Amino acid sequence: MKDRIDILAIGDVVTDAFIELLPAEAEINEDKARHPLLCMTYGSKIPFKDAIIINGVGNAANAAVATAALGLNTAYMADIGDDRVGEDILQALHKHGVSTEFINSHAGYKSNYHYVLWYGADRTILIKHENYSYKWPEIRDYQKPSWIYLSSIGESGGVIHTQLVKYLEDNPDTKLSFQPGTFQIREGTKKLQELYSKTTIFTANKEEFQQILESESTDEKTLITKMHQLGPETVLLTDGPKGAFASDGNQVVFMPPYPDPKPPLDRTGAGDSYASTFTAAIADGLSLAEALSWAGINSMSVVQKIGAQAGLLSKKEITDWLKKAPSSYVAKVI
Amino acid sequence: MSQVFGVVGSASVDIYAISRFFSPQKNQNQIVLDHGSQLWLDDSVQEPSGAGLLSAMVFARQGLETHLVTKTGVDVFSEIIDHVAQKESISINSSHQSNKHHTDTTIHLASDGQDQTNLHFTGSFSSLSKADCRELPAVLEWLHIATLPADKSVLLDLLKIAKASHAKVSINPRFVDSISAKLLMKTLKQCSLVVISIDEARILTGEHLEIEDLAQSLNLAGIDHIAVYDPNAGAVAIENGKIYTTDQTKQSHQHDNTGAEVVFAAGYSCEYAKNSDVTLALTFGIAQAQSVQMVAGARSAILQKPALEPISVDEDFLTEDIV
Repeated sequence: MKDRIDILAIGDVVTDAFIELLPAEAEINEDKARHPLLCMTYGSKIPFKDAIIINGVGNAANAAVATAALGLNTAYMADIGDDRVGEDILQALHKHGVSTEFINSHAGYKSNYHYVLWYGADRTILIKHENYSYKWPEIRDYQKPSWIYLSSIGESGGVIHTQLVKYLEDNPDTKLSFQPGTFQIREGTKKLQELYSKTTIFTANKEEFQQILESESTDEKTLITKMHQLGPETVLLTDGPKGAFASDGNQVVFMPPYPDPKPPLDRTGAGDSYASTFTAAIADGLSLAEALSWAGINSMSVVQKIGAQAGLLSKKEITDWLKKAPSSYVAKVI
Repeated sequence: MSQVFGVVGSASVDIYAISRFFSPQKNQNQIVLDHGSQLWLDDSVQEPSGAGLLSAMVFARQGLETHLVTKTGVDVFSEIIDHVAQKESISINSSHQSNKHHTDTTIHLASDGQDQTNLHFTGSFSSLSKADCRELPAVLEWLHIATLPADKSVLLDLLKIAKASHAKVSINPRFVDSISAKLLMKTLKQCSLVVISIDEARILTGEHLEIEDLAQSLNLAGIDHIAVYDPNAGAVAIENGKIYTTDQTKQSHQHDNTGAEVVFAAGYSCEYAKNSDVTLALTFGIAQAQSVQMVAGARSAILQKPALEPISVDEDFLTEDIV
């Protein structure tokens, strides 16, 4: 990439195989907390309708594609194997206008491949990641990113966290947006203390906030305040179909969801599009309320299509949706 | 000119996804997954499979020129299949890739030491057309049908192609309840050799008979050369009115029956195609089947030509009777 990078996304990239289960072959029950459970007959042979392959996805990859679609100069740092899956991933990212200059291909390794059991609008993702030896790339001065977007990275990705903290110390004008993945959430706040302290925007859903903060509080303001205390300047808490809360430390703003034009087809990537669009809008100089309004529209669009990227919108498309937004789609300071 | 052996059947990829979450819930016969969540697997392995590919490998590993007619998608799994076929010196019909479907796939949701819950997709081979079958070599020694085509007219067309090239036909009918019994019996009678599992034979005849009685029942129904295979016991064959029986060898440690029926059928057909000797065909078929039963995943255990040479047959392992 010859110009300065607006956003450098960091995190694992995968290929998703969407396994479309037939309605009659499984059922959804609920646990005591009314959480959906996918139930299938044990030991049986269950036909599925089709498999749809989507290359170059994952939390950070989805964020990279989202910010590229919004017109930001986006590069992506990730690791792949030297196989056909890896080639397809690179091709998919190129197609979306994401620079793959910082993607490492590991000889003799496989690329990460997920099986997504798709039933109704929800999915259960079967994950197995390769244990790559992660390495921080050489970023030239003229490329220095305005923002780094960090998300889900494998169990052995600790070295990236250490190197990233060092990079942010050496380059204080580069800002960090952090949307933690499974292992980063499990690491807790003590181990990643320096990372949290250097975070400009932090995003997670409500359950993840509770897990990270080891808190049983259901009060969004309490969770947001606790997160600010760890360092992030701006905190975004998403709560699924209920809406989202954003705070800059001075005020907390609530945004309801943008009404779905049709019932959601697939919720994959809804959180990624929300978090990355919010970051892109803040990077563009918008207010919390404006950033939330962008994020809700992109997230609404994503769940109307299969996979995390097909529904991502351009800046113009978002503003078009904003113009026809219902009067209820307005941010409120709480 | 060397003899060419044709195989028609599915080529797929088996995915073994291993996790404790795939055990049944206590007092239930269901696996229950937290829907909407991410589930980290203990292990995940992709293995090329499918009755057509495995059968073609049985022929090819005997040094025979083998041509596989199959149908896959245009995806990574198809590329894995192509790679294996190339490595095994199997040629595949050039029209096998179609972007209408994903390649046939089975996802085995497994937890250690437990049965599996299998999610499977077969839409790719189901789209096999007459045009695909026309890619069989014009000069054909033997045609082995390892998977029944979904389109019955394709099945009938295969028999015509074989007849035109004076090729003999062996068939391993599975999922026999997916086709009318009348049409299937009519087709089987036109084949030189029918190799069928005990379970499929029971469905086809509609009778819960023992293996030898099933073979005799199908023989009496007009199938001149029939072999019935039981993965837990052995096999019975009837040819020219003679009954041949085998038992499984005693030292066999059965680990996984996946693919055993398919490689028995291909092994039996392959050896019979070469030597027209039922005794050798049974020996070879059972050896192939037992080999794949001893490991998880069939492909690696299919025997190469030299591997069969040390196998000796116990006197009481094989018997030959006259009906």
